[in-house]
Amino acid sequence: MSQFTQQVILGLLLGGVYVAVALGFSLVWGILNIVNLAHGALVIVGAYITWLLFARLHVDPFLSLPVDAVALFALGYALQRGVINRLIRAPLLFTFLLTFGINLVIVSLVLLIFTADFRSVTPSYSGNGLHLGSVTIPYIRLGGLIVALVLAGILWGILNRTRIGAAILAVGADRDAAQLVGVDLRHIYAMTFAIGAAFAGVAGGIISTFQSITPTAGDPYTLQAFAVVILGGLGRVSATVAGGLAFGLIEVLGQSAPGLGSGYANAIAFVVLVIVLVVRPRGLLGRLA
Amino acid sequence: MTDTRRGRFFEDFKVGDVYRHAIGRTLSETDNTWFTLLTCNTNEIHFNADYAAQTEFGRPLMNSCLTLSLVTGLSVEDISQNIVANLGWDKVTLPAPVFAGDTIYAESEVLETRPSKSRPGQGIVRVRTVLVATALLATACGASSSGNSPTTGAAIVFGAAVSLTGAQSKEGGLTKQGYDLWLDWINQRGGIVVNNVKHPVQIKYEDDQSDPNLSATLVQKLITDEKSQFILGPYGSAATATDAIIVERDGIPMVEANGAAQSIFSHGYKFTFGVLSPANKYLTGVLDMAATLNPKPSTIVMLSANDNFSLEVAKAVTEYAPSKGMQVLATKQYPAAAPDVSGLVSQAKALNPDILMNSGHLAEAININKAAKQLGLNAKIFAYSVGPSTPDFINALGADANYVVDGSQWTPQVKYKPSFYLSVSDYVKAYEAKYNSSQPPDYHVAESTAACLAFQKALENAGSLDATKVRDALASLDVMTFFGEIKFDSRGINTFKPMVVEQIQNGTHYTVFPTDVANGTPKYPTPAWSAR
Repeated sequence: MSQFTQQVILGLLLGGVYVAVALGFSLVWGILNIVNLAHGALVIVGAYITWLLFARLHVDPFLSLPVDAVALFALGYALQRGVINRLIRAPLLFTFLLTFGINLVIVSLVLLIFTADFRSVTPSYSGNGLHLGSVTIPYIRLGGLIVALVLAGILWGILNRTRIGAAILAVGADRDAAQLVGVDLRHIYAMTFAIGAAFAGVAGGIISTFQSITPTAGDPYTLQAFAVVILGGLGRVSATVAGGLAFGLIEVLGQSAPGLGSGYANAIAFVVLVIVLVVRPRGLLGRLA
Repeated sequence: MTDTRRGRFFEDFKVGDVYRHAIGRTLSETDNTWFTLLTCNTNEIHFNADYAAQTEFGRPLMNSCLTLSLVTGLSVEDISQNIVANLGWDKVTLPAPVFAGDTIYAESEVLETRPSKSRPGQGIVRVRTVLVATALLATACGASSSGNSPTTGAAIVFGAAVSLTGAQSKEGGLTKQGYDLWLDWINQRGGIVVNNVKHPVQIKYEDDQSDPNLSATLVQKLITDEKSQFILGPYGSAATATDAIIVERDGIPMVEANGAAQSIFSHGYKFTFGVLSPANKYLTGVLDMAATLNPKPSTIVMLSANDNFSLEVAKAVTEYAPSKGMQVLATKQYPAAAPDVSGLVSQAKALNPDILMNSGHLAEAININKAAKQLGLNAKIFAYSVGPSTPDFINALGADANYVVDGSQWTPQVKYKPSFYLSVSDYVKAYEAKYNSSQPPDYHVAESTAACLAFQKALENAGSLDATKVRDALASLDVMTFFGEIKFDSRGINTFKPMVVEQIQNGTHYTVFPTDVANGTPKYPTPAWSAR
């Protein structure tokens, strides 16, 4: 039983990482209608910033998260304003190609700058955990989950309590109407993408604390973010949170499913995804289109 | 009346016919000098040996117009003995250099025949003439005259598709370092001596982007377009397996250093050879070592990636453990490069094993070690198949890397007595100098260099650049190198070199088993995480 509890806790902790990664991805997809294939690359840039600050200046990884956010915000704004905006009204396939290309460029640049060596962020408390009976909760992972939930709260706040959030939602609902009432489309597009990138950067900072990072380590997270958004549904912060936690749980519990090898964990997760799509196409909490 | 017994007339040509022109001719330096000056060609590369020595070719190039004239001349008896006039060449290409001493043969294929519109009774024939054989350097005279130093021959071209970008760019880069280290050494000595001719060496690289399927395409390109005569293996078992298909089909020998899965060699391939110990030996050495320890560990949990290589390693441990009085409690598989392994580690913890093993790759070894600490799993032995031997592992984990053991193909501390190339310590020095590194080379580098050494010896033994002869020489090779013995069984696997076990102690690698090549003793059991 305690083993099961442990697995559920680990699943939720992993889910927290997925929530952090998927928040920005979901925002960009929902508002700009761009499936951002460079999302994993942005995540890994954040991870490298945290690593750099930790390795050179001994900055605690959780304290460097705001730096990740600011740096990626700037990068995201520039990318959208300078490159992606040119194709914003093009068919989905073109933005696919464009973001795929951006992903390659960023990953290759990171490879050039940081080489392919495996990097790891190991603050002094990285191996410690909260021991509750036979159940262990690693501090680092707990911190990751908390940050993810805080991020979700911030995003909800931005979207529902600020002027810029209202503009973002308006653009997502009807870009032409939004423009008619005086919303500066290019600025809002760039802001949306920049916020998405900033969240990706923070997610990268979290990832660097429990996983060894390499320039290509972000690629799987693009796929995971995609799955989380499909599972949870598009267009609501709560849907991404639900999707991320559910996906983490499914993956960890899938690893220990009796009778099946743990090598099937991914397969199980995606089978559940397909079932959700068939039974409830808008995702667990998604809005009706 | 023309002499009708010599040459062909229009009606004799059929599209698709190929004529191998009977005579050949050896081009000499005199031919080259005279022809070049006769035609007022002022490029000194054709007649000034001193100047030519400073170019990439190292010696005078045959004037290409002379080669063209010669090839045309050789074709006359079959093609143009009776023609009215030569109407022109529509394309002339010069794919390879020709040097003095080369013998030129030619053959022609009929591409098109049609009657002339303006000249009744005459026709137009279009042929493609190619130069078929050069080579045949001054080997005969070099071999007969006694005590001559070797002459210099054409460069031997090796091809290698290694991962320079993508998930395996780290290991791919190490592979390339190993190849380049030998390349420098052999070219400083003028090249490989084959039948008393010194051939400089070239290695052409392609980047497979860590994609096994792309690797096969690139190897084909290296053979077909880049004219690679021999192939050095890629990084990883998956890529090696796909490349093996290509070299087998083209009859090009490949020596590989980074594909340990035995499944690569289960298809009866004749042209693929692996210098490294096969996958099933990777962690069984750790069991041999564990059996000597007190108190003897008896239970094992294995976390294995689900790729071919890792599964072979894991399976061999399960099969071998009972013979050492140990038992594998569970083998947990995960998809290769899984970012999160905490679920698996917590399952392993519940089983409380004496030995926690990982059969996988560097990234997962680091993640498993981190997760084990976070979840408070402390086994008596932590043994990982791949990873701890690289400097990255220690850099990433710091003190937590201590006490971890791994099975390694090679360590810088082994004591082998090589019969050629460098000693183990000289090899380490050469590496540190070339790559300006404070770390000694890890085994990926060493095994890659060893693949080059196998080729070098096989070429020397074969006394020929012929692919099949070199292949046969590889099959019968038996040499001692700094990397250990290189000798292939009937499948092409080097089953004669042992794996060594190393342990990280105080941030440094020590070879701890087998005892006769070791420079340290195993520290056992692993203390609590806080006491490392």
